[in-house]
Amino acid sequence: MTAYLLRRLLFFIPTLFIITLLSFLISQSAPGDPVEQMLVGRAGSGGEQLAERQATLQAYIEKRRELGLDLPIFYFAIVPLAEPDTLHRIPQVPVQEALRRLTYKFGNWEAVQEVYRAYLQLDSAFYASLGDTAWGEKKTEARALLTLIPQEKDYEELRYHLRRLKDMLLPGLMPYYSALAAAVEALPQKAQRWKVYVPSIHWYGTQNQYHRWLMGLLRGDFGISYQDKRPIAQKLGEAVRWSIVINLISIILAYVIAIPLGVKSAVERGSLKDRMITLTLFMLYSLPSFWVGTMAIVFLCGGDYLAIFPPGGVQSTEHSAEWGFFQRLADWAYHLTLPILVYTYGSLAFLSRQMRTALLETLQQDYIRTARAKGLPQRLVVWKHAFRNSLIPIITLLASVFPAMISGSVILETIFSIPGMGFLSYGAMVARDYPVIIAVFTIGAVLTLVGILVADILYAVVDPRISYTKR
Amino acid sequence: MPSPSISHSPAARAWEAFKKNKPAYWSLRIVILLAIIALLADFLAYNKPIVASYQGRIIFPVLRDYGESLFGAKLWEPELRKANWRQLKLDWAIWPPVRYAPDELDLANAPAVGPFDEQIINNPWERHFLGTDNLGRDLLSGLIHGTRISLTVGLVSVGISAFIGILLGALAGYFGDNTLQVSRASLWFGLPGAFLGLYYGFYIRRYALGEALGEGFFPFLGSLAVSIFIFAGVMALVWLPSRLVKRTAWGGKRIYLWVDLTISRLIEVMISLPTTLLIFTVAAIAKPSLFLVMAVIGLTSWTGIARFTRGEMLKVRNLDYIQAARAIGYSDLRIMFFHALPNSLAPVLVSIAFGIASAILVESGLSFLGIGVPPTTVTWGSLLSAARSATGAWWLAVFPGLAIFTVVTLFNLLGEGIRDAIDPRLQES
Repeated sequence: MTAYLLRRLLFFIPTLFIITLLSFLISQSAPGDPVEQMLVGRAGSGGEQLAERQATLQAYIEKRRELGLDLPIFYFAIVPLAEPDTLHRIPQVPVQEALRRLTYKFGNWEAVQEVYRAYLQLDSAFYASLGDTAWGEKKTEARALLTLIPQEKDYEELRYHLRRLKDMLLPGLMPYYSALAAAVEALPQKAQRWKVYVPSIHWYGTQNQYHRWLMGLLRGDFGISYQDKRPIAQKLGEAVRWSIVINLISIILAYVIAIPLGVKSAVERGSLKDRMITLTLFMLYSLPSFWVGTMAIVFLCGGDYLAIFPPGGVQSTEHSAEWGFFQRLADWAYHLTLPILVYTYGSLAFLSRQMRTALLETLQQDYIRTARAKGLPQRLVVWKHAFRNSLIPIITLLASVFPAMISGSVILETIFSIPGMGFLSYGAMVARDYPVIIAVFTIGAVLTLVGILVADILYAVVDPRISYTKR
Repeated sequence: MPSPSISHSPAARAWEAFKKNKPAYWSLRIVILLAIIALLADFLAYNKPIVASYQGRIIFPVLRDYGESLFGAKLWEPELRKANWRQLKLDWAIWPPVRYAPDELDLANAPAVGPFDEQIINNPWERHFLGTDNLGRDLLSGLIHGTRISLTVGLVSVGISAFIGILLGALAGYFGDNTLQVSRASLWFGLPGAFLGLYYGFYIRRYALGEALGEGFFPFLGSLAVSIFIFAGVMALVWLPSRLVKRTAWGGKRIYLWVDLTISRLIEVMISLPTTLLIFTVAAIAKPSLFLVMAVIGLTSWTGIARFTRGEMLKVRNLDYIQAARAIGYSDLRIMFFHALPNSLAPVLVSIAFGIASAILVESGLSFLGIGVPPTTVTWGSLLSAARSATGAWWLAVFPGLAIFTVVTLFNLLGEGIRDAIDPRLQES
């Protein structure tokens, strides 16, 4: 058993690796610049004056370094020979992307780098000249164009932007402009296309974003939420209480009701009672829980119809820690009854149906006939001989219970405004708060693995024939 | 499924058994009816007539809109296209039963007017039969057009998962770990060949491919064809020298490919992913698009089908007729796809029916939350979510949910019916 568990845990490592890689890849494909999202409101984006601008840029670069975004993405990269291994150091992802595109087109990184350097010189000269009164109207337009130029991915478009810029600039900036224009025009002559067609590997070692993120994850550090800049682990910790309470009650309820129901239905197969139970369970199973939840909110929770239950939340507004224990409990019960009912019925129906099918199959086995033949009472036959052997599918379901807790909660907690994991992740999805979404996904994946492991152990407990020690 | 008059083939027997199962048989009929509604949605609910006589001319407005949206033809005079046809002076017209488009805002009847409330309309035919939502969109029209979306989501996503699942399951089950052999030379040249092929065909062409995708479907197809051509060319080029190396003792050694082991590991990893959460995460992060939702559902839900197909293949591949086919000298691929696979597909049908139900459920859950599906697309889920903001609008809570519930139930019944029909064990008892 121990050996099996160890082997199982070993298998977790590649699976976990794939899961974290997947989470990381999804978060990488998220649109937008995380640094800009974090700096919003802190400093004016792109100030009027040179000093102000440099301060903003400095803050940007520092934040990038702090978040590790100036590091390469992964341990290694397979790229064309033309692509340098230092591209990730350039601040601003769109600029990186544009430079990469130019490099792919011409194959000559040195030439592209010259363009970038010439641009930087023009840029700082431009901001130094902003105080000049000769500027007038054209200043804003020129600045917009100048921001656009390093992000332009298409070579012809880039040349077009440059031609437009020429007429706007002050004469003092012309030398810088000419240097940039010359560097851009020189690109086709300096092209080394063959470098694009030679694959090469850059090895970065552990100094990369994925490694950093993974190490943080192992320490329980999920990063910082974009929305309120709080550590995600802290936010999740607060939210997870409600999810655990509701799901635990609902899972226990579901198993406690579902198993006798399924057994009853299987034992009295074909009877009116069985058919009624089966039909009801089938309907319940097909009822989308978010529909039932919405209906309950509309018809039972205030609004224009009945007001039996409160319209969401986990406690009343006047709820306080000074209340007596039973008063608080009553308040929570009043708020949570309806959500728990809606949480429970779906898994209840699913579980009983599985229980019924499994037991029906077991009851057809020869040893059950033997048990009956030797005169054992029905109760003993069913509960002692058949029941235990039909538990396997029920246990398998336990593995999917944990992740279903989170994903199912997303919809239901939103409907009933319960401040749990699901509500938190819904809020994050709407606000595009990617670190939170990714954290929830990663936790869900780990919980799935734990669920599978627990199910594996329970298999052996329930069925002595399943032994993991020797084949 | 074809039903020959007198036949004792398993398929015919299963079909007979299926027909006896009344709920399942009726579900099949209603699903076909829903498919027809989905196909004809524009003739059932639209804001232009099917045929109309306007200023002495006979016009087919619905067909014209089809021409414009499907074939990009310019068929409308600008003032007629934008006209509100309900207020146009028409000599005569045959209207769809519901005279509203699903995404059309009827501001006079907003927000949320009920089916029995007083509605501001010109004639009784223009009633919102099931009321409007909080933006004044006709509920019945939304439900009719939503049928199209729900069924498309169900079919396309399960189509994707069935394709992947059947292919991988069949490969794993048919070849196992000790059937498929390649020479060491082919393997050692093939793997780098595949790497180089991917590099030249797709990796360094990724910007070109992305731009083609932006231009439209056919440019993308063309660009993709170029990539595949390069990939195949490079692979062939690298693989050629392996023909020589194969003659040597080292290169000629045959190695078994662990097809089953590899695919089974892949399935195991896929199962340990929280699928629903993954779908939510991807849908929330990427740009909203219905196709993306279908693709993600399809790409994450193939494991069940793969396992079923694999299991059936394991049984079928040892049957006598497969041995006979081998003896005749048929190629492995031919035996696999034309002889073994057709006999292994029955249990997969069950998974497909249940898969459609759950795909529709996932999609409506997503659009209920307003993630993954573009906000302008009217779906059953998005209509249901309108009930949350329009309090007291019982029709918004009842009808869309009823539609989702009905379709999910139908496909579940269908799945159970197929399972009972093909499982001989249950038939006997």
